[in-house]
Amino acid sequence: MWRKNEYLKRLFSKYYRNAKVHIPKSLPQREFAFVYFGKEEYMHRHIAFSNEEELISHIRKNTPRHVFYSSAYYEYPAASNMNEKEWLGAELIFDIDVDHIDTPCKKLHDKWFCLNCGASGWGVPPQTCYKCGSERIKRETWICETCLSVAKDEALKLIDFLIDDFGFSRRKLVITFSGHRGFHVHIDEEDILKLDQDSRREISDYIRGVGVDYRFFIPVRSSLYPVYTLDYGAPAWLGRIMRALYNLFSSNILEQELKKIGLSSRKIEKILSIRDEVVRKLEAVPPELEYLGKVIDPDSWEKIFHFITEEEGVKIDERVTIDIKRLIRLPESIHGKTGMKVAILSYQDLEEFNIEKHAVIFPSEIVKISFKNPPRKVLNIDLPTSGGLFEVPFYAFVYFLANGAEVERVKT
Amino acid sequence: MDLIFTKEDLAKYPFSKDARKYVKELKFDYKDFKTRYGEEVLERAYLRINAAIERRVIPPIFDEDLDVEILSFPTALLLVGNIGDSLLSTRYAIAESKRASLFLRNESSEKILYLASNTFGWKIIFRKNGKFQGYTFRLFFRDYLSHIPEHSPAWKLSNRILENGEVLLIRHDVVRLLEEAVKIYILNRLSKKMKVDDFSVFLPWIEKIRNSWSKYKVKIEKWKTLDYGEEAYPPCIINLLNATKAGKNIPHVGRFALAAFLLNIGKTVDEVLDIFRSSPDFSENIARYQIEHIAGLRGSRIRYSPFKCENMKSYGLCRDDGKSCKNIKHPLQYYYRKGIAKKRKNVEKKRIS
Repeated sequence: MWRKNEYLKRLFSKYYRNAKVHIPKSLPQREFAFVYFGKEEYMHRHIAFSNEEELISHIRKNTPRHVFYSSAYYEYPAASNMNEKEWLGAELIFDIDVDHIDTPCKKLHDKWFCLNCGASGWGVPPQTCYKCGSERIKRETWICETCLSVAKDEALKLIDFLIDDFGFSRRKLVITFSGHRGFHVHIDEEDILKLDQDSRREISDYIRGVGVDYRFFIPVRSSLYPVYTLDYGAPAWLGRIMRALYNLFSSNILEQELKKIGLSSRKIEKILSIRDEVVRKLEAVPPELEYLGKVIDPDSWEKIFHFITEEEGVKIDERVTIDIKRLIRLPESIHGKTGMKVAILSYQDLEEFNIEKHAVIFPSEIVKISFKNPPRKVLNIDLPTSGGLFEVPFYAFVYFLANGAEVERVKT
Repeated sequence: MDLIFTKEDLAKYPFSKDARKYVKELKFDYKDFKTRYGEEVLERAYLRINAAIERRVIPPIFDEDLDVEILSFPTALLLVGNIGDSLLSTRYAIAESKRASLFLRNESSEKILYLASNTFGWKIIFRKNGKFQGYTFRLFFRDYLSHIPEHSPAWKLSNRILENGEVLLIRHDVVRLLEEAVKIYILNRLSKKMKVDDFSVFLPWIEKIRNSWSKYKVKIEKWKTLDYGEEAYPPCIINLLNATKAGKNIPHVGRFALAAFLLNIGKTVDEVLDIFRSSPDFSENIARYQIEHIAGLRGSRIRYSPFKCENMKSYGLCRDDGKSCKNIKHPLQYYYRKGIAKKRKNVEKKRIS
């Protein structure tokens, strides 16, 4: 382990010799935190720098494995007690991480082990071990093209929300590849720095589609509220719901979808029998939702809305957005578990995201390695299940090493 | 915008920037309180506060001398602030904000807009002919979020029209949000200690207010400090409590409801924190912050109440079996009703034995 660490540290050090890490606004008011090689279990926190040179020379001198900075601005960022730091404001941050999203590829590359009985399996780990019931489960996770493309789609959806609904201009968004399993978006604008946790929760709920209540959108008998006039081009959730309803009812897998939504077979049958009429009413100009409110009962609406809002909302990690004192990876630093950089991306970069082009910092030359118990798919590389010797680009070897795999380079 | 408030407007909205400026120009000094005129101002200030204490509303009528009326507001702040009782402060702030709201309801849109942008610095615009009928105001989402008056589906951002950073609002919404802004402004002012060189002239008035307040406060406190035990908790809270104790991951609204309930029946921040300790994602820092926030020790300095039953239902937290909660509109109402009923039973039992 020690030799692996030394090896990685040398590689990281070479990168930092010329790298330009991102310098956050008002640098002296930010807290920094580092994880160093050989002391991985400990996060060195409450560190502040008075200028850019100090930060860069600290990184060059110590070659940290991970670098974080505070989304918050503090009067005293180096104070070791959170209450003494005197919070002044914080960036608004969004985190999309495939950890929180169920993707089909996880069974190809994610593994879990029960630390109690030794049972193991592929894919999303169970809450408790199926064999012995223990909760002591260790995970080994990897990324592949599929996860990243799912995360990318979520990130693009998030940006639509931020621009269309929240009115941020595209060039004010700092988009980064998180260095591992997703993307971050930072907004560092005077206007929003002082938002408190409650306000950030509302923003996060809005983007996730939490709390969208059918009684504001569908004229049902028990409607408590004046109902909005929906249209396909309407702003906010109004348009999203309209489009989603049309997609749902005109879908050729409507029956399957309604089953997924959890409606009883009696109700599904009823909806299928009036489906043509429903679609006609949805296609009318303006759409005639009174009809839909009459023929579908409130309980079903609640379920349909739950489904729609989950599909249309963005799967952000709400804890990151709500936390006003978050430590987050410094853009353009290296993620110590992948050896890839937390790359700043333009909107176009994100649309065309390619990990090799945007985040890989080590050479692509092919090296021969031995790998015990490899995952079946990592990045865009298919690996033989049996393990053994094979050839991969050098940066992938670094990823395997950094993520704790039992891998060795074989000299030829 | 150069709409200038009339003197009557200053009396309606004595917290406005214009009114503050006007008061400054009057050059009314502390020693002026010792005059007959000053006495009138103090008397009027006392009436404001006493109305808030006794009836929770300050009637929307003016003293015949509008200067007395306008001056009585900062004077009342001085008196209430000096007593420094957070319950009284909240009661007074709410009563003043309701009064302002009564006036605002009949105000022209231009004046509403002026007050919002000039006094509270909101980014707000008025557009007569929008896509959505009645939604004539557009408010920057930040200003909307920091003045949400209650946790309910109707105020949830998710159910609002948000376009290009602006929340579309009807007049009534704007008035309600302004009411909240007035309350927050007053609470803020009350939390700052004002320095006064010679306080003697205020002392008899403060004494009067204390007397009047203590009658109501005793009632509230007595009611609130009795511990009726977990048997008096409503089913929704029992359910949340058990889930939390079992280390289950309950949604934020559930945690909020539970913490707010426990704080309101007199548990301390530490006692509540202990209950959340078994949460799977427990972080002492974050949890303490949130609980202190709900307790009104941080941020807006408002102690939050748990959701009323209607909102518990919409968050899916209600556990009424159709029998337990008849005629109950609020979880706290359940607790006090059940608790008081239980106490009575016990008293009767003792008598019998």
